[in-house]
Amino acid sequence: MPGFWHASSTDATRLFMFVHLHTRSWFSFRAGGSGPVDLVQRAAHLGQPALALTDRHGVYGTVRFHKACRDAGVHAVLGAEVLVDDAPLVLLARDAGGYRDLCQLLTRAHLTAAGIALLDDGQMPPDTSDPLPTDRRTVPSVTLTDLATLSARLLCLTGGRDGHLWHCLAHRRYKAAQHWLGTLHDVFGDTLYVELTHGLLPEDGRVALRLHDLATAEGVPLVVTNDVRFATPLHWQRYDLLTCMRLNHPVAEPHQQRPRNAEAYLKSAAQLQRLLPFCPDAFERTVEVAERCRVDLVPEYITPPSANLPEGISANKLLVDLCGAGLDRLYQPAGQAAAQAQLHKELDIICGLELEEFFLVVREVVAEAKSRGIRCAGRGSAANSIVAYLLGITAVDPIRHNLLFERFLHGGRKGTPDIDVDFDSDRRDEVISWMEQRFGIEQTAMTATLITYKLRLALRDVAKALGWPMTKVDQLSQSVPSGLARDVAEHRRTITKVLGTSPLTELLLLRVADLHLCPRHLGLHSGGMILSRKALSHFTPVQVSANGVKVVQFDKEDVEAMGLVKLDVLGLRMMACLSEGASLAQRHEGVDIDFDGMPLDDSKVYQLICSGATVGMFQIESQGQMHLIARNQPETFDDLVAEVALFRPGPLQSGMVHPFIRRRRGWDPVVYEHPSLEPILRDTYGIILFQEQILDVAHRFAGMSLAAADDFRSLMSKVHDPVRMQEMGVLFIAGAMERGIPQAVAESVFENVSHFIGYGFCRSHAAAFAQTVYHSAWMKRYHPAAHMAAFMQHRPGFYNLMTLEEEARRFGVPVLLPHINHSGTRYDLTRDRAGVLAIRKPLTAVKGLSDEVAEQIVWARMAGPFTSVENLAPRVFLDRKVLDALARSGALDVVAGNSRDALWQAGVVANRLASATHADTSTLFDMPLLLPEDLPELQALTSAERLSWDYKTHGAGRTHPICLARRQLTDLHIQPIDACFRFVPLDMVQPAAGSGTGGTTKNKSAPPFGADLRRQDGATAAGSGTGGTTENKSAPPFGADLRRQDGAMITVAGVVIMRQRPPTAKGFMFITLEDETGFLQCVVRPKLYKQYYDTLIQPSIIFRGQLQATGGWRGIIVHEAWPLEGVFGGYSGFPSASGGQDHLDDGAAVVLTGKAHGDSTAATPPDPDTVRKVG
Amino acid sequence: MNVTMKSYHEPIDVAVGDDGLPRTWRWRKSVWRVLRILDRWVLQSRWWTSECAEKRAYLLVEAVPETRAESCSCAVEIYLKGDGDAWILARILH
Repeated sequence: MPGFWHASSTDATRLFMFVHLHTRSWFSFRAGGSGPVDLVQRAAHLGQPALALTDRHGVYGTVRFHKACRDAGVHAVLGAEVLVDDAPLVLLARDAGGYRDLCQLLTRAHLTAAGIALLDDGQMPPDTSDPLPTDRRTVPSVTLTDLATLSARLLCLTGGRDGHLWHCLAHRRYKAAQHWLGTLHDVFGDTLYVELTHGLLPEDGRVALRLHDLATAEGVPLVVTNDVRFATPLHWQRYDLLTCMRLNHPVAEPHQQRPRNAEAYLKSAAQLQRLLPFCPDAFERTVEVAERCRVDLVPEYITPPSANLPEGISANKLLVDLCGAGLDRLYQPAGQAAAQAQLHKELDIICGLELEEFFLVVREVVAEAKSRGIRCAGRGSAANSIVAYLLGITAVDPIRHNLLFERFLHGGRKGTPDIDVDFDSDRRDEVISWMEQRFGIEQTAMTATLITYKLRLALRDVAKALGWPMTKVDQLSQSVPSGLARDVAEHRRTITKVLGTSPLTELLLLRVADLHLCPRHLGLHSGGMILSRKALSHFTPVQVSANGVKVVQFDKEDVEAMGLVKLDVLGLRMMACLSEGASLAQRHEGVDIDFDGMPLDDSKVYQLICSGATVGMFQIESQGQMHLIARNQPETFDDLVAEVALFRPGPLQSGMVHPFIRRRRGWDPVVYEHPSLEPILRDTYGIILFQEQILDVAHRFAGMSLAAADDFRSLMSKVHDPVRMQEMGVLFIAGAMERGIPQAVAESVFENVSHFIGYGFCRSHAAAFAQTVYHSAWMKRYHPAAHMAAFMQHRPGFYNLMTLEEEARRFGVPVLLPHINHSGTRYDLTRDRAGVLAIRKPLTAVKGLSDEVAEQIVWARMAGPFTSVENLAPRVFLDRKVLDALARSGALDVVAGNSRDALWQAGVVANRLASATHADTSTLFDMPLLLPEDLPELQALTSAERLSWDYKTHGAGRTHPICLARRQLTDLHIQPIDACFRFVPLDMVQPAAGSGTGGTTKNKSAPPFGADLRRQDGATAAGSGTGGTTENKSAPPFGADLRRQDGAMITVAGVVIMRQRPPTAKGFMFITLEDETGFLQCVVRPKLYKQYYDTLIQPSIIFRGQLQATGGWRGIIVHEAWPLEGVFGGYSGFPSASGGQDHLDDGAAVVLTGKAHGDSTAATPPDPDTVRKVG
Repeated sequence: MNVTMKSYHEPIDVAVGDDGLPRTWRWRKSVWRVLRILDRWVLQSRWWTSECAEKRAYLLVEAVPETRAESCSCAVEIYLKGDGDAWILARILH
């Protein structure tokens, strides 16, 4: 290409120093094509001394931009593109005051767009909870009047090719252009600049000349920009694609907002000078403008909010006094010495870092919550602090649990301390409202979270933009698991299968990978709440989310980098579950439960945990945890703390779990590589389990300072950086050798420590969690009905409702259907006909029935129970769909006889009511809604229909779906899952080999013949007659050897309730299969995963595999797999961390085709070799 | 003033100077001389099709056939296709 088109970007002559003052990054959310780092690196490469970031409607990328500039030695100029009376202007902050004014303007723009009026003085209104829905919001914009009040410390550029000035001159509207320029000049005076640009588009040259002439005539100085949208021409396609995706417009069709060429990139001064040769001073002036802008965004200090201090009392004094009171309350006099010493040490550090007010503020929040009866508990590394314990922020005694304060805070630690507080999720909003009132509306907001393109979303958006029809787009996004956009090529085969082989498919793969890390939109962080002493507008604009929550424009990392204090106000559903469970137990069993004062040493609770019946228990209900529990057999609270900490990527990937268990169980001796490690690792049997231990090893063994040791700990917890690891290794080993430790020992210890890759818990966090584990286990042991009802209400776990109901039944707790006359708005308890405490499903369990409608039904019922469908309909206005759902669910069986009759009657009544309304006859109360001739004799529901209707309407069947197929499965010698539990591992018959020192802690002798191994705790499971099976429904076959070791082959079938493939599992997949007798973990090796992939994503599967048995846990290693046809209730889909429950098979296809088992209309029995999908 | 425009889109044989800018071109047996550059722009499109991806670098020039006087000049739109493959005469404005 000739030189005039593409002057060398590294032109050696460097005609001018020049700065780009109008630059968008991809933090303009699909209106910019490059990240801040790419832009800064490009500017540095061109030798440009500064760069301005001016994203649309916000400063989202500012912190990352600021850091990138600092790293590259480029001066950062901060600004934004702001719409003023619908005309874009570029506003640059001259100083901290200017940055604050810019933030205020942007806040105003966003609130106005959301339909929220600011107060007369421009302050935030107290209530932002009712904004406009996002699809009805206007583009954020301010008025000239708004701008005039906040312009004093801002510089203004007239806005490039999208600007009003350019637009007027392009259409030769000279008077309008002059007027606009004059208006802006009145506001900005000598801080206004006309933006001269040339994008190599038709007429750009002429318009540039007109701009030059106008600016010269009006005496307004000029600056050259390139209205940059991306860093290099290579990013143009990405920018154009993002534009199409933002506009929801196919790439094959033109649109006026799309770029018509690739020229809007960060060019060199020489390139721009060839296009705009007539105004050399406009280039030099860009450097002057940049020099006028100095904003230091990242301070060296933090700014905690103001605590509530009594008159004349300093924060320090108040803190000391409160801690003293706590010491007397929580420690016996005899045990106070160690606590006193620790307290003094911590107070010295806290006061040295000037964090007294921060602790007092957190204490205030927790105290307020507790005074309102809201369950809460601090966790995270804060639980290492005795100050936090004495103030009541955490409930874990750091002296008793040997917790390390330095993991939380030390003199060398930078940044804000990390305190997370879990609240009852039902009442978290109440806490947040109170905090807003207490600390100020202007001083509080939630942190944002940046939603970047991941695999599925990127595929969806790109495929749509490239022109594929929506049916294909939907199919495509459902055909791949969740993952990173850059890994799209790993799914080439699947994608090609859906879309076909073509150059366009290849383009799709390329463009999707290119979207890795690209932001799509701003989301709301689940708990991070900023508490600021100053108004937040000093630091960031504030927007309003879709549901009315105030949110800043930065995510939590950026918030911390700005020195703002964030308190994680998290809603923990298990907290809500425990609160509700306690309330149910109090109402129906007359017991008052005090979790905070509860001892943590009930052996019956640990027996239940060790039995593996952990569904419904916090943190330990996964299959992986069940297996770990079976091996580890926790007996004390400390064992439980270790249990919680073991099942994390750090210990798992470092291979610490197996040696820990063997040493703890006494099967291997406890050894230390060096005597100095014994005090650090004694209580974890010489194994590194907790983050604090890494810090302690680095500090005490390798002699690192606390700050260096903390960095070292942090490095171990994050992504493995080989270069940094090597540097740390040298430091570690040298430090250890200086303390007289032999080199070989130092190297070996470092090797062990360096294997602790990935996140592991700190001990305090594990201890805080272990308390909640214990409480949930205690509730299940002693109040299973209350606990399971509360669990179903709040769903803090990841099993589906059917599994929870089956678990309740296994514990002798019947689950009763929704009932139009007995159900309320929440899960509740009642006595069934046999007087057994049962769970009553609420009206809100019925799909589509909202809380409001449920309340209406309950209120209407106070005038008398409903006697028929005809009686119900006029008393409560019910949407047709809701009425149908009620009928199908069985809630109306009591008034209609059966569900099919109820559905029929509901239809007749609804139609009659609708006609009456239309006719406006006002005979609603006179006219019968149902006549005898309206009620034909209808066929009874088949079993499959009954089950399908249950699943569709309230998420769980009265019987397990596998029951319908059991006869056929038995004919094929496919066993029920509880058959696996009739096998006893050898180590339950004789001690495990090498266990000379202590042997096993439990089960020293074989259980009695025919015993159900899941009931070892002795807890009752009486009256489990309502579906599911637990206890010995059939004796084992005559002559069966119950002591057969694991490894036997067995074939089982079930519905899939979970599918996981954790990153730490090296390609293994875990499927949880459930039938009417229980559930089982099925392990699929990587090779078989590929071979049986199409079967493994089916909702119901038959597996043949090798039985594995450990204590009370059973699993199989899969050898073969077949899809199971004609059964529903399982989940099809892909493995994921959340359980892989993409799509519930609710039986629609089965009912339609009549292919269910157990029906007279059923087709032929299942053929394991058939691969056809159901549905 | 009436301005008429006629489209041609025919290849031309261009001679460029050291700066890469056209000086003369041959078209339909005539040689045209460029008097000055009036405007320039670049249009790019269809990056999603490997066959039809297109880039055109346009020049609007004042030019006159060599055999005519400068007062008979007219505005001519020419463009360079792709990465320097060929010059095309797009339109002549009289």
